[in-house]
Amino acid sequence: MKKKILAFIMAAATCFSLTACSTSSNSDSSDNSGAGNSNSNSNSDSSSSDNSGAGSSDGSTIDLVVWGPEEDQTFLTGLIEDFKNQYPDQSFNIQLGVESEATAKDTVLTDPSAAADVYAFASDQLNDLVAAGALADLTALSDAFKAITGNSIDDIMAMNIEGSVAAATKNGNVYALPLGAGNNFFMYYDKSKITENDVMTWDGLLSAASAAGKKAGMVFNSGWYNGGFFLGAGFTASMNADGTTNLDWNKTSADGITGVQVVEGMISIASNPAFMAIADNDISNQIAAGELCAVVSGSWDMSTVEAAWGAENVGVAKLPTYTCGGNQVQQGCYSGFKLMGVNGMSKQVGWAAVLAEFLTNESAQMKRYEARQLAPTNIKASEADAVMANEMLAASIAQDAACGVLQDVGGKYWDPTATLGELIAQGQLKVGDTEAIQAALDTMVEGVTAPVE
Amino acid sequence: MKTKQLIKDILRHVVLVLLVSFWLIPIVWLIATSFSAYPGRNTSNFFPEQLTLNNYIALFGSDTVANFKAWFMNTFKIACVCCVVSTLFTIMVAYATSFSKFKARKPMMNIAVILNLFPGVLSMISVYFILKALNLTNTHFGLTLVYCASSGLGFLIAKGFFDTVPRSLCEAAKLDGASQARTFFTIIMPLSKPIIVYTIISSFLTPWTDFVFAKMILNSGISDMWTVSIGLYNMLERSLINSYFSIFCAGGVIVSIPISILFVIMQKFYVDGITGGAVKG
Repeated sequence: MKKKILAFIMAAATCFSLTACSTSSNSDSSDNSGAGNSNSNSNSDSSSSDNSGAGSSDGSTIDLVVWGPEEDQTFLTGLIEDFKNQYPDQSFNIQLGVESEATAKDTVLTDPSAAADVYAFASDQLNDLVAAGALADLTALSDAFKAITGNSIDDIMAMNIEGSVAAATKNGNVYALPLGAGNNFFMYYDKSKITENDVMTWDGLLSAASAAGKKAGMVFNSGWYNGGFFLGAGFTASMNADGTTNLDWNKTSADGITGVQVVEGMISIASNPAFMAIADNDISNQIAAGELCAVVSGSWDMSTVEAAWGAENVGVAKLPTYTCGGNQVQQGCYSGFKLMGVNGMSKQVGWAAVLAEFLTNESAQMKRYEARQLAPTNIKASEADAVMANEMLAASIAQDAACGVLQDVGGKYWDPTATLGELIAQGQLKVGDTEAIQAALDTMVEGVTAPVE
Repeated sequence: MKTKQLIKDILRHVVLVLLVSFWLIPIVWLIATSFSAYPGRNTSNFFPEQLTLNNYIALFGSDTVANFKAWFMNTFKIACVCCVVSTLFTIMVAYATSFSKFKARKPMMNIAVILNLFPGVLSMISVYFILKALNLTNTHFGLTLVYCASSGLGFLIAKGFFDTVPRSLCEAAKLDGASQARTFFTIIMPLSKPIIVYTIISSFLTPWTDFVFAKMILNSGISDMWTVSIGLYNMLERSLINSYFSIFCAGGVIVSIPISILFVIMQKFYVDGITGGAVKG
């Protein structure tokens, strides 16, 4: 009997200690809760977004979490302070987390309700994020938004360059605010070895590199880079609603160029001894290794290039033209934008949208440009003197203007296109062997357009 | 005869040396790269061209990418709690199953073994949602809970060890009027040092090596909250790897330090623990 009573008391004690633990940690977690998932906050999203216009401060603190990339952390911290000062009547508890734009989609989609209220992401992730309900429809919030900031969503979008607006819009609704452009690639060249005229064409570039005893490099085994040859020739790639990709690269493009001709153009570049086919993710290393005098890469490699060649020798230009079916064809590229979105599952959609706007407006974009040389999408910011004088941005913008195509491909796009690039880089396809090239293109298109399981 | 033996010995050692060098190459590379002056991935040389200590200094900088001090303290804190709680759980379950005779003993042990056959990651999603419902995601308490909660299931080796302790000791203690707790703490524990050490090491290691649960539970993106494994993983992100790869290697070297120290201290018990527990299972 005694034993049974003891057992009962023990069991009760265990239960009690469990509850004690969970309550104490509850209060704990709301103090430092990361993901804005505290249910205790009585402000529902609708109430806050509806009457926040009147500067509603019912005394409660608004909890917001912002995710920005590593490079932005310092200046985002400053901007968040500015934001709090801008709305002194409302008390905020804003936390800043780290999430790269490139991987935002993966992290957010793991559990959108635990993700940040405001987060930065790359424009090619928009479709998936909207489909998962992880982005709030800002157009629907426009009135409440105007009440606080004085601008409607359309007014704000009108301040940004056209391409970025298109990248942030889906089915006519705005889902994100553009924060930067220039997510593309262009040509770096060593001015001491190569002239501005040489980089106009791949032929000129390669012969100049050969004369200098150096090499010109580009990544061939990645669809992101090698797709540029096809895009420049007028081919297209687009994604359907179900996530499959349309690709016409084994046919004839709108410009009357066949896919085979494009591949032959690529082969003649790859087979040139002055060309170095760089493996994906190995660009920075190869630049530092010192064998290159020209390389196709993006703004992220600026510091590596400057270290290798000396800042005064670094030249930047839009991508060269390449010989294709006897003509010179401008090499294109995918372009992308960086966007700031509001989580559709946020408890504070209204304030989150206001914060997102604050983090992407003209002065924020100027600060971001100063911090990490990211091209602004805000028209006024992109016309600022410092930005206009930046050669690298000029090259990036010129490349976009020449033939940047908004990246819009599904997940099946990458492996087959990388394989084709690898075949070309290794010299397994030969100019003139049209059958083999056509077969390789057909295989690639079949792989890319395959249904998504 | 003697020469034959000699040749055999030489062959054996050559094979061993080869195996050891294969096994050591990645570790040598990691340590060498952690001193590299070139911040990104260097695939052209095995040994860095210029050496520097800056990676170790940068690792403890206040940068949000290299916030190693906070991560290290977080992991250390979790590991210490885990170490104590898991060890207690494991040893207590092992004691109960080894020394007490009760009706459900066999079925419970069978269930435990079967549960142990399932990989822990299977429960990942449900663990996440339960923690979220309790508001324990993004807390170190939640993470510690996950690490400790199932540790009782790892009792088998400890039970095997306890089975080798003479029953008569317990019986004598019982006759002298000792309670179960007293028998456990004053008679059995001092006799079972090797297995306790083994349990301590393995439960201390869990938080240092776990990535999956930590990444899932600490998902707020606030780098002060992270453990070492998430923080180091974050350095390998596409936009960061070119400036943080050598620092990442330095982090890898430093992580191994507390584990090595613990191991060196407890090494002599460790061997006893595994072999002793495995003799009779």
